[in-house]
Amino acid sequence: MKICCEKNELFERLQSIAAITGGGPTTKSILRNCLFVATDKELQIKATDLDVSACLQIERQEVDGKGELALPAARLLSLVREVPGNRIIIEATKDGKGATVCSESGEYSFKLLGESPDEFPEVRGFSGEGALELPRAKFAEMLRRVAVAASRDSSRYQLTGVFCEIEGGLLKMTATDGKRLTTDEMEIDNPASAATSGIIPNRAVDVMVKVLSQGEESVKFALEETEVQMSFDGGEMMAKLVEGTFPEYKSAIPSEVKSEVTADRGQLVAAVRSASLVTDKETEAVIFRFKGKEVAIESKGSDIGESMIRVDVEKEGEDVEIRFNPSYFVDALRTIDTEQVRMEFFGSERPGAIKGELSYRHYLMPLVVN
Amino acid sequence: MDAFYCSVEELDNPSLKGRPVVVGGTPEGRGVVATANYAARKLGLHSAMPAARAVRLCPKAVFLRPRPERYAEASRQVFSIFEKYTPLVEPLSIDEAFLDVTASRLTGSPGSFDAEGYGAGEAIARELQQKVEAETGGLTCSIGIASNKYLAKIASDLRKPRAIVVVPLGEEEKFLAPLPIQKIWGVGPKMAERLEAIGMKFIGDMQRLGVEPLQRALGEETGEHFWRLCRGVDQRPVVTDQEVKSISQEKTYGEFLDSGDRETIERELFRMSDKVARRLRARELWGRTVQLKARDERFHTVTRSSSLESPTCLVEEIYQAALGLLDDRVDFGDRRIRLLGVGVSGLTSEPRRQLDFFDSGELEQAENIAAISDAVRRKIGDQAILRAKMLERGEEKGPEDDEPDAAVRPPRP
Repeated sequence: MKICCEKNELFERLQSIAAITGGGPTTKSILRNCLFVATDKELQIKATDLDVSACLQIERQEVDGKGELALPAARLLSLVREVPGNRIIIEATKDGKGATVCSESGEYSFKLLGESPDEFPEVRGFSGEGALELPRAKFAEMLRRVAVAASRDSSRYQLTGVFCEIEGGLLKMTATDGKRLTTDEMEIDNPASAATSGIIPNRAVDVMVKVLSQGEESVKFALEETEVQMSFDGGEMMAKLVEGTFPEYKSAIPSEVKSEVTADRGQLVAAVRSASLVTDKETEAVIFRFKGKEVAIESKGSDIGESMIRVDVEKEGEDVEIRFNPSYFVDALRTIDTEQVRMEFFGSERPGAIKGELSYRHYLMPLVVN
Repeated sequence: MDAFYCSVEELDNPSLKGRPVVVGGTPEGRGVVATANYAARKLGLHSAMPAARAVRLCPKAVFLRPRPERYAEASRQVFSIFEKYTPLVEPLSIDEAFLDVTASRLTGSPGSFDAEGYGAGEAIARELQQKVEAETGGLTCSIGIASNKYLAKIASDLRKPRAIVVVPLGEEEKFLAPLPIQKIWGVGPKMAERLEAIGMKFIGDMQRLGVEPLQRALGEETGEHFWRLCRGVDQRPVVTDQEVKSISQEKTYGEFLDSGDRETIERELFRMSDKVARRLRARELWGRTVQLKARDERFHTVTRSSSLESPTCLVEEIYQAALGLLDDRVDFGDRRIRLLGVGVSGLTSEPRRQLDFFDSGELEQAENIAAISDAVRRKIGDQAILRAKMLERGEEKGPEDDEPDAAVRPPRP
């Protein structure tokens, strides 16, 4: 089997699946491989870690001979990056357990040891019944922005993903690491009959955001009892849902707005970043004092000094004084892409909300002094 | 300093020069080599080698008994030279130190007017190296110049003896790329094995791999940690002796602890964490960085630290962090443990606590309970309230407080 394909396309595919093939220290070596499958009609690249699987098409290619080839994905990715030229040639060795990878001109040639393709676990095809049809780019963007708040702490495993709920014509997404909480929703054109929910694990979200970010087409999305399935132009994906119950987050979201503030997003990001230069590693807190037509952003580092930066704002409601971790605050502002940012405050020991253009909300828990 | 103990010996006894010299161990083959000079190193001798083996490899080597007081004296002399260049000197050991020369300039030495800012580092290093050699009468040192401590340390070890290695600003990654992964701080044999398993041989391999695959292979935090180190990122400041603000507790075990004896190790860490936590509370301090120190039977010492989400004064948090460090970042194989230590730094008297959406005030409650138990222990004695975890099996009394701390235990009325 001999494959000739475009370097950039292959590189992108390998990068998309890197979250699956990376594996942990105990991962079986075959799972660190990606599987090339060539048939008469098409060339696919598959990856699975038994929990998350993906099967992607490689479009611009020429294949000589049918067959399968398993190659170590991370290693292949770094080779593909090095090879010069626009196209890349992968030719299976005679025993089928490896390949030569070379540039089209032949100057660069690597012999890469792989594994027997027979050992590669089966990657099931899409079978999602009653799947939702969702706009691909919008879905990917929503997922990306919500996922920012998902916990990376494995000891809070039920928070290590994006919680999806399908209910009453809406798809809702929520993520939280306890300190911040993001939510967003979109209307569904063809709602499924039964309400369902599930936590899509971070690793799957990473891959989904990468493979879905481009393309105007729709994506088929099936949220089932224990897994989520997706089918889209150019591939399919499947992931086991995180076992466990997502916390009762709705009661944690405050409702009585005390003040509403609008500010220039760029100015605010710059100000908070500057203030964060003068915080102690021990405290990492920046005080926001919203008063009248401005916010005073103050910080203090016991061995460094102090900062005081003023930014003009529009405010309705009470004056507020609240402390946030500056990096969480900046992360939150970065998920918004409007020039002006709107914020809501509910009291100095209640979360603050940073509002996106439509339904996106990014809640941040403040810091308090003991 | 280059082969410090041996160099001091050669200084005091010039006839040793050029001969293989070993400090530590005896010619009869007892004990362990503490330092070997460069002539001995050429013959394959190195520190921590059993003297018996050293004798076999090099029967002609001169074995000297260590003279710690003399080395300390020489060390003080060298450190006093360092202090002429910057007040920011952080001793790392008797013969190693970090110097922050960001704000230093060479003055009074003709021809070095352009030596300012980052470029001054090299000029200062050159002068410092000459001055140390001249003023001590012949002790030589090697210097690494870099934008942070971690890289400076690697650079200083790279081409000993009498070397000056500069890591140009902005070329940190390039500098590290060709070095083997073992050069990374904290990469011991076991970690090296794990990295090699994912195809990492040189630091450059890790740089190309990216953070996510590293995290998957090593775990979230460790992956992130080594991702920073492989790109030369290290933001720890140079801290002088006086500035160090930490509370710590350590214990040397006459009878070494078995690395596999979890129960004992956990109990010891818990007891030390408890002492540290009580001392923090007695001073109304909270700390955010937990350090673990461990030394194995071959005198190999490691210190590891990690930062907590919020500053703490609670035994559980300190203990969990210390245990986590021991499990994830210390690899002694089956070598026994001769010292353990737990410490907390990054102290503050005004802690800011990050609120949590799903936390129901457990931490505040825990701090209240701790304060009450402190009060009871002060009044009735240390044995009044103990955690089961601190007791040995079949033991009814906890450990005696071997280092009474005045702040923790004021004299009884």
